[in-house]
Amino acid sequence: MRMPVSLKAGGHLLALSPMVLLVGGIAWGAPWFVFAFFFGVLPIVRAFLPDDRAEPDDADRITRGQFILLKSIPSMHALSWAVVLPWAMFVIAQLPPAQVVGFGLSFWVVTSLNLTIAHELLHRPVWWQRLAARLLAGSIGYFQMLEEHRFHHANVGGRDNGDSPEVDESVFAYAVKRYIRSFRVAQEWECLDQIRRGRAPWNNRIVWTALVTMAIAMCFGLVAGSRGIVFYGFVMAGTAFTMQAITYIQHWGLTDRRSPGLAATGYSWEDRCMLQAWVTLNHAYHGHHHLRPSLPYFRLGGFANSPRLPASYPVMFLMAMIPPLFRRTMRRRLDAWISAEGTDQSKSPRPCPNLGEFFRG
Amino acid sequence: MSRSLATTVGDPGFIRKLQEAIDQIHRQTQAVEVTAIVKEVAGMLRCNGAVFASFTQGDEDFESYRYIVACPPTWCSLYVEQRWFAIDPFLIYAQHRTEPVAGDDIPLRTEGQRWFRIRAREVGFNSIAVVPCHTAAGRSRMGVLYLTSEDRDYFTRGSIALAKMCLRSIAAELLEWWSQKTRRELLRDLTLREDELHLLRLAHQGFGSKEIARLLNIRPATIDQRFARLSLRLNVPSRALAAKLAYESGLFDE
Repeated sequence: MRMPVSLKAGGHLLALSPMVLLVGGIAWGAPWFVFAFFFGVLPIVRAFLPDDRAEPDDADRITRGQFILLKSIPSMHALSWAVVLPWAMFVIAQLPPAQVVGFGLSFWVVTSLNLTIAHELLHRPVWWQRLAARLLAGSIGYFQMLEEHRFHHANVGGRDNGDSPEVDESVFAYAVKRYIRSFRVAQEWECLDQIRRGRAPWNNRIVWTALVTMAIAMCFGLVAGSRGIVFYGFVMAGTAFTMQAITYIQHWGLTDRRSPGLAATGYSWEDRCMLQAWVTLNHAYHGHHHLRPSLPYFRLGGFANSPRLPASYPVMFLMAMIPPLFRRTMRRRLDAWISAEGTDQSKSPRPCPNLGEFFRG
Repeated sequence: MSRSLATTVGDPGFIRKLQEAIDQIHRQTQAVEVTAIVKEVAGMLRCNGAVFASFTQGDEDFESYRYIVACPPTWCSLYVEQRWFAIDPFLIYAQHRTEPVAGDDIPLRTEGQRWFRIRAREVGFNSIAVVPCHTAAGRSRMGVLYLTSEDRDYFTRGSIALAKMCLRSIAAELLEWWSQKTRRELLRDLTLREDELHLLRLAHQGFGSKEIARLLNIRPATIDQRFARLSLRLNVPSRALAAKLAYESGLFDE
């Protein structure tokens, strides 16, 4: 049965829920609530919900009102964050030390989910939305995100030095390697972009965004003292790790070397958890996003033959913390997908795709 | 050897044959047919490869990139595998310059670009002519023609200057062909009718709902509704952006 489009559209308002729950958690005396909700309640609820049908043509049936709402949600999120972030600084200053850890975990969930909002905004064509993406990314300490992400789109699934993790690589090794590399590739991208657009070398957008990060860190320090700076440092590190871990989960083992057919799936693992789709703005329909990056989130859908994750992101994230378990679970799925949908050409001569066809998508 | 390019383009027979080949381009509907013509032109110019890339300016997602490839398949394969379209120094040069130039005159800024150039030499592209081609002001689609030669001295600043007219005319014709093709594809994909295009054209010319309603003898509310549906279909929040998008995509071109 198809879900009513109005419900599907309205469901995306849940993207604002992490911040609401963060504030609610403090009001209820449970600063750990967001963390517990996303890692405890959500996976259980997922078991009782049907999969999202994830059909891209649903977007053709939305009304103008729904269209405006869906377009506004990422901006509404960014504006709400502009209020919640200073509020969080004052909360940190006042919370008893025992509760700071719980609040930190909840805050980390919120900043990690902010990555998906920043991601959505950075692909939008309007300049102020891209600026909002930059401010959002800077405010959570991942200041190289926009430039690194362009590199990611170009290089995911690449045969040599691509951005997809190898099958024998643990999330920890991948996270360290990718995070260190992210600064270099982002800077290279920015350098080339300066030439493309005729910008002066001093006009470096990564540096401008890093200034936002520094300003936020200073504000944390001014409001909450050294505790605020340490707190922000941990959240920054946690958010950076989440970014790498989710990339790991989304693209694990999917490279041109494994199967040339993977290009048609955007080298991505897909998941159809409805709640997750709402909260993360369809981030798990990642293959479609890689094939058509300019499509807004509500036009994304699933592919009939895409590689599928066995569970939603929170469960996969925890599973990735135990590399042998993750590898065993995913290896079976990868091999099954390759034998059903792609041909393992790792020992075959290199494929020769037609460039015209490749770019037609 | 630079004389050989000068000699080739100075031959009246070559000019006539080039003219005939160029005349064929706009009659073709499929990229494979145009590729055959590009191969023929490359042969006439004694090149061992030719590529025409077309894309919209500022497209950071590479969705608009389209290629006509008339060179060894190993190079195509390598180019895609290594994702060189993202760092290709010649594409980057063409985005902010209009002058045809020899590939060796374009500075290489990153390790990836230097590696790209080394590998190009390995497959026999020892000298390259890079010919940027831009459309009219406001339009965003542009193109770059590469012609390659095994001879290190075939494409130099001097020889390219002598052949500039020929090279630019080939590039311009190919860009025109891609622009028309993408226009047709866009009209088909967006299922835009002529009357809807007319509405967008009027909006782009600055006409308001009341003026358009008077011109078309329809109620202003109906015009507003039609613009709302159009914005939805074009995936933009306002009619102004819809009209801008249509203009930049060349949808108003006849």
